Amino acid sequence: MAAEELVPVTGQTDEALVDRVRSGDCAAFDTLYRRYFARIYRFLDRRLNNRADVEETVQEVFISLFSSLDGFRGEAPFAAWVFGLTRRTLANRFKRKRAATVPLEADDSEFGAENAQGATRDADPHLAYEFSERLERLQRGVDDLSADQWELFRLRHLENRSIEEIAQQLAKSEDAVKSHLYRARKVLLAR
Amino acid sequence: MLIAPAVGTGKNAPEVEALCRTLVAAGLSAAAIDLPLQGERASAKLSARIAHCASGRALGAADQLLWREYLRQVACDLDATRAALAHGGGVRPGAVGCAAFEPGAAAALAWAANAPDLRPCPPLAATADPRTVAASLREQLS
Repeated sequence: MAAEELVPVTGQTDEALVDRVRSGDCAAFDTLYRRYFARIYRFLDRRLNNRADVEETVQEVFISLFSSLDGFRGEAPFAAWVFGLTRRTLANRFKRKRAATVPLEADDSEFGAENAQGATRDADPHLAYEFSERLERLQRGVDDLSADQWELFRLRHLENRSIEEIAQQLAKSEDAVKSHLYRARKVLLAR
Repeated sequence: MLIAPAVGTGKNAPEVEALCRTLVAAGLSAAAIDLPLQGERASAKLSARIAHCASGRALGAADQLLWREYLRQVACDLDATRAALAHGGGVRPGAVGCAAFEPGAAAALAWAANAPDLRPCPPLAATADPRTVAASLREQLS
């Protein structure tokens, strides 16, 4: 057994661990992993909507991290390098999600509505799971809304009414409707 | 039967879908999932490195690191799938097999070899006839 393998890894700096990982030290690899897993998980959990997305992105971060560890030059603290990489991984994930498209025919016509029903019925189980998790989260948030806030949210986001229509229906000014909606969304986003 | 797609492909690859359909028609349950670097998380560059790692050739330090992390993640994903099947799907753990497509079958089969109550099956070729493969897998699980 090489002499350096006998040195305990737990009290070492990140940079020292990285050097040991590069030379093939498995214990250093595991320590670095444990040291950063919870921090990266929490960072992503605050920015993503569901557990599956968080877990997948954490995996992506660690694959990137261990596949590009040679690129760490030690010019900045290791933690800064790790979280820079985490932010880039997260940004790439958002880009991929945003790029998702639907066919042009899937409009509001009867044909489009039939297609949409079929798509829901045959949905990818993973997407269905994500959808149900988001719905559950939304449901928990709804419990925190006042009756007025819920009414506004329902009209605007579930019935797709315009601000003008809602203002007329509830006898409020448009500015008041916007302001109440802003507060309702803030309550939901805090969940 | 848990099906692991080949490195660089994913659960929607034609050979995976064909095999799953054939297994179901033969009376088995089949589940295929996207492992790390598959499906939405695909990366051609990293998949090529993983395929190299899985080939059994000598690896440099950087590839050893990547391979170790990849194996850990594959094991974690397959464990979670098996647990979900046992919990929500009513599947007896002892009745679960794991089959994986080449290239890259080594990662899933290494996990299966260490998992209690689970039967690893020989690596699959994308070009194999799904009916022949399904018959063989069924025999191994019976």
